[in-house]
Amino acid sequence: MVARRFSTLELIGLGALYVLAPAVVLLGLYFVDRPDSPPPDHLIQPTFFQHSFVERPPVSGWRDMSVDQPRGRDETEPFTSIWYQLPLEGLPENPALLVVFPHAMLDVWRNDQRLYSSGEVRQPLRYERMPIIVPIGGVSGGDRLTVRMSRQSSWSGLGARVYITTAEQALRTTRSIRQIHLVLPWLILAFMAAFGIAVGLMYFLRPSQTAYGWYALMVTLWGLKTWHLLVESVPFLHFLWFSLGFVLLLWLVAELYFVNRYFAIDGYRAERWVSVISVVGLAVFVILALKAQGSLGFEILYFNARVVLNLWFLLVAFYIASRYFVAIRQRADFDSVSLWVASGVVVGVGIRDILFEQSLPINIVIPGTTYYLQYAVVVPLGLFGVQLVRRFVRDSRLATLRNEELNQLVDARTRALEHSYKKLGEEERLRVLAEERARLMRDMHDGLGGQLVHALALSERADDPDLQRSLRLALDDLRLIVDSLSPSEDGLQDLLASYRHRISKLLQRQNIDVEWHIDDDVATPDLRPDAALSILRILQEAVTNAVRHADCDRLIISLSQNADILVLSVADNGCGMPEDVTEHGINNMRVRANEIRAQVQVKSSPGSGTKITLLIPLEHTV
Amino acid sequence: MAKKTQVFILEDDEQTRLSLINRLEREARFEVCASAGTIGESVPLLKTQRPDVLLVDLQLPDGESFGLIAAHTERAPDVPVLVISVFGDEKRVVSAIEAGAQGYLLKDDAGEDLTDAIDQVLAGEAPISPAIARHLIRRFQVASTGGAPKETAPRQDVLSEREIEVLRLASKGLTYQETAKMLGVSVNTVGTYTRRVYQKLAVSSRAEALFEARQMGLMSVDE
Repeated sequence: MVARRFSTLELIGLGALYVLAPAVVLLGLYFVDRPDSPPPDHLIQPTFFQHSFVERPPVSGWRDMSVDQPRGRDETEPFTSIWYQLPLEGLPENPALLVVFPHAMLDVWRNDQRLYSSGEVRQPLRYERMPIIVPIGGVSGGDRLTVRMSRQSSWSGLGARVYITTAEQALRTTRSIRQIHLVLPWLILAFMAAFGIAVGLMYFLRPSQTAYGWYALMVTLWGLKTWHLLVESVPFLHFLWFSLGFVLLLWLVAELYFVNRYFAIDGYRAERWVSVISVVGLAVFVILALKAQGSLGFEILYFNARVVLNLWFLLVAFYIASRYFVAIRQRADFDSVSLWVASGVVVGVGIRDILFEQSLPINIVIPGTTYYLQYAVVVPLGLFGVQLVRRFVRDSRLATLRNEELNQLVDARTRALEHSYKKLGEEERLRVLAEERARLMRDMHDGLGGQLVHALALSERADDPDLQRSLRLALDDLRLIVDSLSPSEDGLQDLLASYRHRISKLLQRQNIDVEWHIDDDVATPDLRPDAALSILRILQEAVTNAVRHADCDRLIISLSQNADILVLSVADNGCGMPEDVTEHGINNMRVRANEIRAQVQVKSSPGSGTKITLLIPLEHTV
Repeated sequence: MAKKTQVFILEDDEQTRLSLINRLEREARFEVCASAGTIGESVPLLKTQRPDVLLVDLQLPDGESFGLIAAHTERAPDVPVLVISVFGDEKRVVSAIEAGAQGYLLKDDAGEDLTDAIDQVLAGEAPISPAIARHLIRRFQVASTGGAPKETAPRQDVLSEREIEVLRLASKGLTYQETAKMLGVSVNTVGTYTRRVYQKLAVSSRAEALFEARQMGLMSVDE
């Protein structure tokens, strides 16, 4: 199959779609992400942030605060902090501090009194993942509020919207944010989990389609990452949990495998290298993370490993992007269009998230309350999922169709075989029957017939006319038997033809004219040999009677069919006889007729000839 | 006085042979020049004798006589062969016709029937029975019976309409006289048609019988 390529117009359309799709997705997300926020003038600005962790803000006039901080750490400590500080003046009634999505550890002081703390700033860090409300208490002149947000490593992404507003407003905001950012993500997570399980099942059903497996793995890793953003504390591997980079890296590797298989593009060597380097790098990373617990040297190594890992990340991401590009270049179909749209969404939403993150410490208002990328990733994942399900359904249908076709073919062949088998059986039966008849005939011909002819020859020499007649009768009867056994297509018609041929010379010599009226429509192809023999014998008897006793010069033999009754009659113009006569073989005829449930009717009166009619019901003769 | 018709008889049963000779020689115009009981006996006899007609039984102690018929017909096409049998036994009679025979007789035919048949053959006609006619119709794939052909027809010979008609009427048991009356031709013509049908059959299928004759040593290979 030669894949179509995109035309220029289509490429322009795709370009527009690339911008339009993320805009639509962002609009949708903004539509959902509209918490009941405090007014913008309640927002407070950070006063200071520093790349390394410090116990107190290095601002002159900063009053001493007791900061519960483990001692013995210097500035190499891989933590970052950001400070907010403001005098408690002109605040609303019942004021409260509201921090939206800190994604960091949070500490709040009023003067040197600690109002809130996420805990000690040391591994494992406990990030606050949901909005925090800290009641401030009554306003008094000269008091100062201090907020510190701390996070591991770089300060990028550190910071949040911090408001001082009424406690009621803070509660309303928190409630609406929880609704949006807990209910919705969990729903999406559940939905994607269902997708992942479904595709995983497909992989189980069709192990040859590895794209299904890679997709399921991708969704699982994405789910892990999303789950991590939702839960406040993870019950295991805290030390790793903060560097979910490893999950993302695995996700990327799975994606690389998936894309190559999904689009059936070659990249096996590269993907092997990528996966080997990623797995080895991750192993090193995990070992360093383990060793970093309590050893400063390893902590520094661990920190640097993270930087390298992040760089590797970018490399792999770029490589995957190039794979997408290859796929789109190779094929212009719904798959590649959907992929294009999805990557547009990811890039668009990603740019928005970067802007959002950069704006957080300085509160340039980028709409929305949190990062969107983890949700936007659902778009490509969902599209891939839908496509995979479509593929699966299509393949299954095709398979079902093929199966049906195959079944029909098999059925037809079976029927044909059965038919020919039956036919063969029937033919075999007929063949055996014909062979048996032929054998019987040969035996009679070569044996009995020869013997009778031999005896006839002897009787000629002995000049014994009685014996001769008797032997001729025997021979005649034998011929009838042989005739009745002969296979024929037209049944009785053929038998009558043979009989007619045989007696014509005899009758000619006796100067008897014979008229034959054989109805051409009479058809008895399946005449039984015994019935045929009975009919022939009766006919012969009737003809012999006429020739010997009737003193006639005219004979009319006719055969016709009346519905299911065959009517065979022999009429002469001879001397006739009483109708109730039983001699001259009439009785004999009746006995024979009885055997085949036929009837013999004799119509005669002295001086006006005799007509013998044989009525043969067809149902008993076939 | 006209020369007597010389008849050669091949019949294994002695009594039957004698009876046949007896019946034939009752008529002054026939003379049995030689008779044999086996194929082996008849081969040297046929080389020395010059019969006008052969009466040949099909089943003999030393085999079936198709090869002999074929060899004889090859050597002396003008000397007709009549098969003598107890019954019509059409299958074997047809095989004999293929080998070159020109008709058949029943062994117990009365003297008149016997001499009639020989006269007929000598006059260039050929006796036929309904069963044989049916066989021939099938062989030549004639659609007159409406049935499908059962055997492969000889290719080189196609029957004329008249020949087909003669076969069709014969298959219904009509005598030559009746057939001649129906077709408006002489009895002789009807017999000639039959003879021609036989010849056509033989021309297209005698090779096999000849091969058999060579196998049996009835003919030399170069003959």
